[in-house]
Amino acid sequence: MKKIGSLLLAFTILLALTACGGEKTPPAAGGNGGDGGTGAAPAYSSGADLLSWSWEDIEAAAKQEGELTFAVWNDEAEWNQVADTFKARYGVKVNVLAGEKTTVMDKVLTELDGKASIDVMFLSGETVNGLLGADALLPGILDVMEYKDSLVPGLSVRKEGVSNDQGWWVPVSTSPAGFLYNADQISGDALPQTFQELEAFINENPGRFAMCIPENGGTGQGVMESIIANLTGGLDQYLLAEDGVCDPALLEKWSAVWDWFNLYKDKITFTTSNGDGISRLNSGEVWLVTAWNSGVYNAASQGNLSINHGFYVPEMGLCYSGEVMSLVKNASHPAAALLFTNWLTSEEGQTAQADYTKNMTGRTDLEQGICLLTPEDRARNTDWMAACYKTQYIKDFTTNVLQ
Amino acid sequence: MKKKKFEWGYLLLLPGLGFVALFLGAAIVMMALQSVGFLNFTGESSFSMEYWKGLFQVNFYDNLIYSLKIAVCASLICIAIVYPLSLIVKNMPWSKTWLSLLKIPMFIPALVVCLIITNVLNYNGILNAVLGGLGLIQEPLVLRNDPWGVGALATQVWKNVPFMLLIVYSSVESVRKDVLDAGRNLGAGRLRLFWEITLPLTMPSALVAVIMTFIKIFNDYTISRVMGPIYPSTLSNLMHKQAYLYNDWHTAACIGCLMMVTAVIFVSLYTWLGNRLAKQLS
Repeated sequence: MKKIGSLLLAFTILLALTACGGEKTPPAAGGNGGDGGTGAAPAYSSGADLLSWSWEDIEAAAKQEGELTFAVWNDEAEWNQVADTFKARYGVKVNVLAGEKTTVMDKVLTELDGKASIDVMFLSGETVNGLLGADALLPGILDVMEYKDSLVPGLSVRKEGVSNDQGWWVPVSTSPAGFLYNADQISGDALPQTFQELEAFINENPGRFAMCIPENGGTGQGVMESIIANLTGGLDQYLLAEDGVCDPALLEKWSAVWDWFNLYKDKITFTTSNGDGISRLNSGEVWLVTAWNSGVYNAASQGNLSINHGFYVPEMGLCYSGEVMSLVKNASHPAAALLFTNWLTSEEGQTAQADYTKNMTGRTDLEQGICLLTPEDRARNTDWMAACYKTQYIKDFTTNVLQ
Repeated sequence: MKKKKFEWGYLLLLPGLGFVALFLGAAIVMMALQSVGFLNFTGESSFSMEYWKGLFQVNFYDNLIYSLKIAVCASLICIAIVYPLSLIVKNMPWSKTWLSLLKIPMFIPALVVCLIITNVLNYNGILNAVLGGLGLIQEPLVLRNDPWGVGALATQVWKNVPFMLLIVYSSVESVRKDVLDAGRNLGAGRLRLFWEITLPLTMPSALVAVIMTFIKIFNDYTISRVMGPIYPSTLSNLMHKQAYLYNDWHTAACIGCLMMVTAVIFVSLYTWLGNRLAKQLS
């Protein structure tokens, strides 16, 4: 009886171990490895091989691969809806992986030696230098995109101070920053347009101007960049950074910025996130706050911005943001990743991402009614500083202003 | 000499010991190694004390003092609420039902608690509406993300009173009635009964409750992130920022080590003081 019991136990353990090891092996890049494949796609060993292929061949290879993993850092549910639209079109499953920007980068870097589990990812200012430095991204993808000429020029050329001269990334959406205001408290004539008018507004209305602290949200970083640019001789000098390193001579000029903040910080309301600023404006606590176009659109459409409000970009300039996508060089599913990226810049993909994520399109020829700004306002949106300056002012803000 | 037979029964200890060794021991050793430059995720690993030196330039003291302040204040306010509450509930009809109701906040996630308290403390929240309605304030008070941490403190107290009540109430309830009756017969009033009988007898439970609440609040991330001041914040928040915003896992590991050491020192000190106080009272 004991023997039978032992045999049964051993069999159960064996069965459990077999089940644990029974994960489906992803078809290796090579085109003909997937089950049920048509065999129509030529063989390939990496994503670089695919760049010279026709889109028909890439689609066939993508269908053989059957799936891809797409790393995002926000709007996971919305990106899953976009992924479903892609799957309905091509039958290729998109596994949306949501994670912190640097965590995703770390994962890609640790998988550099083998096949990466992340195929395609959003690229941020914080991670672009690290990934390019480790040669982790596939170059040349921008040039093969079918809708390349319609993509927003700024993000196609540069991402937070890093040049896209090798075509490492493709812009897929934009989101301009602007000033959101309580229209019952501020009339159109009194809206601050220049930096001096903003100073006057803060002086006359203490606590009514709000900005997110730079470490917690992009709108706070947008205000920081505008203030730095206005106090230290313009934005252009910060757009590029050689080898991703800040120019010490430029950083010396920032003492004027910290002096300015220490003069005004008691009259500024600092918020904990981009969304917190909008909710404080809605509650009547503040009258003027920096916000993303997408944030204002979402808040208004969901009934979270019930007051009489307006949204504009001041003459002093505020940045615009946007998402760019890159393929991981050693992706396990390069064809599916390439097809997904191309589709996302198509009219169908752009419409899906705009409908679900409420981000504006990454193309200049498509608008989805999400933009709340006039063309004149949008012309005042500026580029981002190089990433090293952003990291620097985030650190310095805590030391020089909050502490 | 007869060879000692191996006792297979010792293998039963493996799950427990394995958990301690793997998830506690190994994790702590790894964190300590990371704080001195080893186990680098993305680059070269080598011994370095630079991260410890740099730690004291990243606003560590402000965050440490804030963490201690919020943990001490909230724990003391909680225990000050819990003792009278326990005595009231003990003498109420349907005390078990009341106790069950009072425990509800303990099962509500911290983020939901933050939203509940936000509705009370917000600029146009209930408290400001009441104070404004009574004419006590002209302009609504800013109590969320305020520099004094009122919002975070209120949220911590709301969340932790039921947890403390769970521990202290059972102790208060177990004080024998005949002991209290004897005190009454000797002429002791309610305050003296509490001071000379209930408090000394329940002091060990109270100490455990305060220590556990202190550690919970000292290590808090969520409530301070949502309700706490813009600056400073808890050490957990600083640790998260170092790791995820600056990708500096070594400094984050230093903060983790210091959080553990600080908590151990503080808890030891409190226990020592509590034991002395208990001896004096008894």
